[in-house]
Amino acid sequence: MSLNTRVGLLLLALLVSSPVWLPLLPFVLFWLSRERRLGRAEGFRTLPRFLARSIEGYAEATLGTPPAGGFATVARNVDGYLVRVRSPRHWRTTMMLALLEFSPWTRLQPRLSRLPLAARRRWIAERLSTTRGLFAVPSLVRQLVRMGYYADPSVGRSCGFRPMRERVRGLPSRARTATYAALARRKVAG
Amino acid sequence: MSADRRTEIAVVGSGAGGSVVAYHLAAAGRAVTVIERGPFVRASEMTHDEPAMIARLYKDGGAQTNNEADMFVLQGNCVGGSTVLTNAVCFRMPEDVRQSFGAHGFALPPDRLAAAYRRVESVLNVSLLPEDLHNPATRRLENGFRAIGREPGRFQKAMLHCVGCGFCNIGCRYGRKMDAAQTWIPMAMAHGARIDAGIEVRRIEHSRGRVRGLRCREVATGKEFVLRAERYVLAGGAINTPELLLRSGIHPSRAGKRTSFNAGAVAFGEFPEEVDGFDGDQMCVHYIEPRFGLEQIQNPPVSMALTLPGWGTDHAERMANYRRLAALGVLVPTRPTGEVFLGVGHRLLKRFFDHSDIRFRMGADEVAAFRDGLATAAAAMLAGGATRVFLPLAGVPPVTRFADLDELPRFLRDQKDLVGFGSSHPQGGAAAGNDARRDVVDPEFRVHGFENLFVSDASLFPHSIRVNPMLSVMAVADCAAEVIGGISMPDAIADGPVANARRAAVAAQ
Repeated sequence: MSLNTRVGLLLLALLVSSPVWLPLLPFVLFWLSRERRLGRAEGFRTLPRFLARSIEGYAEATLGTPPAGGFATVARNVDGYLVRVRSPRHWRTTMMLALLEFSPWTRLQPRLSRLPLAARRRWIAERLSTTRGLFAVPSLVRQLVRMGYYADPSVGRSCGFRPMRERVRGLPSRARTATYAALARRKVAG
Repeated sequence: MSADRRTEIAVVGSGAGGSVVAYHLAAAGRAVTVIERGPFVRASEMTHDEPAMIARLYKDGGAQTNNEADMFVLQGNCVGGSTVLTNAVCFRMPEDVRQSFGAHGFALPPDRLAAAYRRVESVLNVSLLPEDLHNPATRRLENGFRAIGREPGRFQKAMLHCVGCGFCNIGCRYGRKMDAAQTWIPMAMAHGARIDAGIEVRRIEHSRGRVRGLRCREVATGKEFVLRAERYVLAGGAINTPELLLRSGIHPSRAGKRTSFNAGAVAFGEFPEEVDGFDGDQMCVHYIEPRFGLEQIQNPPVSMALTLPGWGTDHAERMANYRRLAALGVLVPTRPTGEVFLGVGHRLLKRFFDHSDIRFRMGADEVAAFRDGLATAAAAMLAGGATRVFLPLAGVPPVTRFADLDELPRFLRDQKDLVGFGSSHPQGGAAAGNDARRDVVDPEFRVHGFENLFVSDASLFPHSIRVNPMLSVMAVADCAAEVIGGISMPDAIADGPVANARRAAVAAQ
């Protein structure tokens, strides 16, 4: 099923269920604006607070050691990425994050960021580790979260990655030649 | 709307196709204006911050997908286009592909094409990647290929004094990759070409087979204007050129059809010792046969994490062994069955669907080629000493023995089984040929039925050219410039950073 068909079906579902949610719309809008304000207060430029929490929750449930600044760093890095993207498809990313956050509602569970860690892990492993079906699109959030996580220099370093300035080939040419010569001498001596 | 702007030749897009045309026409004394939607990001502004550069340089921040969201289509969105994001890999078009294009009515005479390749290769300094730039994982992969009886090849690259940082795909901050933004664009500017970055073309205004102007919009301010020229060259690439034709109502039944890809995904081998693939050029070794190609692709942490298969903690555990991972991308040239189109959303909710959609599904034979490519990649890595191979397939356990590869047909049945499936090489969509009812562009690069509208990019290709297309797009653009400008091409080009470096070297002796 194409993305546009999914969006169309979602709109249709919203239309059909409008008698239920329409009376609640003022409260929803108030809540959204509050979440956006709270997000800004926490330093997020594009993410409302609940989506930032969703990213943190997903990161905590699926990744290993937290970055130096905690899992909030992941949400901050994702926010930094989103703020730079110029695209007419930008809204799709926000929608994908919202689908992730509210996906547990389909099984009458609290939203993702409100789920306890064990339940969150289980939900992600059972429903969101897929390339097919209803959750194929929100499962793509993993890419955003991985981007936010591995962009942190402390995480890159813990994996063993060395930035250019710490490699022999990153040294200024004279120092590089000297280091290569020393390495060659050591090899000969060894 | 502000007043009209005027130029002699308007080029839409500054990537491999547009930049070459812009240079040749500017060098021949024509007034050229290049319109580019993305920003002009100079090498000095580039960093090794992967998310920041992906967001700035890639179309849709690297999130452009087909309409089922199971295939990423990566393209540049900056001055220099996708050439800024390539690994500077240069292949000439295989001879059988050239002949097949001829059979489709898009004849590229061998002498003319060879001369174009020579000119382009001299500007880009195309040469064999020096061994001191090889990353340490290369040797293992080469050994692996030989052990399974496949002779590996080494890449020709467009580089000048490369430092081997391994960040080619987010732009070269050292300015050593000879992409269009380092070569053709500044060379064209030196001859008076104007580069208008941050401007998108919304629509081609035309009547009675003649283009009257390009309706343009400044991306930052939304200010609109019309650019009028004598001749117009579309060079936005295989997704954007068909999109613009469709938006403008030009050949709506043909534009966007016959889109093909070099589609791929990455297999990873985990070695018992550290192979430090990040330390050196990302792509050093390849093995190519007609149905698939295997190309090494070592990535810095973020890009590695985005392509590495695995879910949840499995993925994290694999990334923890980052230093022990070697990677081989499997590329399958697809048949031209894809399509770029403007969906229903574009007509109904333009604000939210102000872009084209891409439709593509691999056929059974292409899936089979993918299986064979993955099996060969895995076998080469196991033979090279890898203890585990992670295939880009949902639900498949790590491969530890050659016998495990017999199970592949069970795990790879269609495109949806692939994880991290995508393409950086879209082609076609405005295919060239001599059949005015089937093709969009005639063999002389002119849009059928239009006297002053031309195309010069990968959208011309009737089908995939199988190998990395940058060099061939530039060579074809060199041929196009000759026709569009009615100019005679020089035997050699004396402009550009490479020519300057050669002159400096001679002077120093």
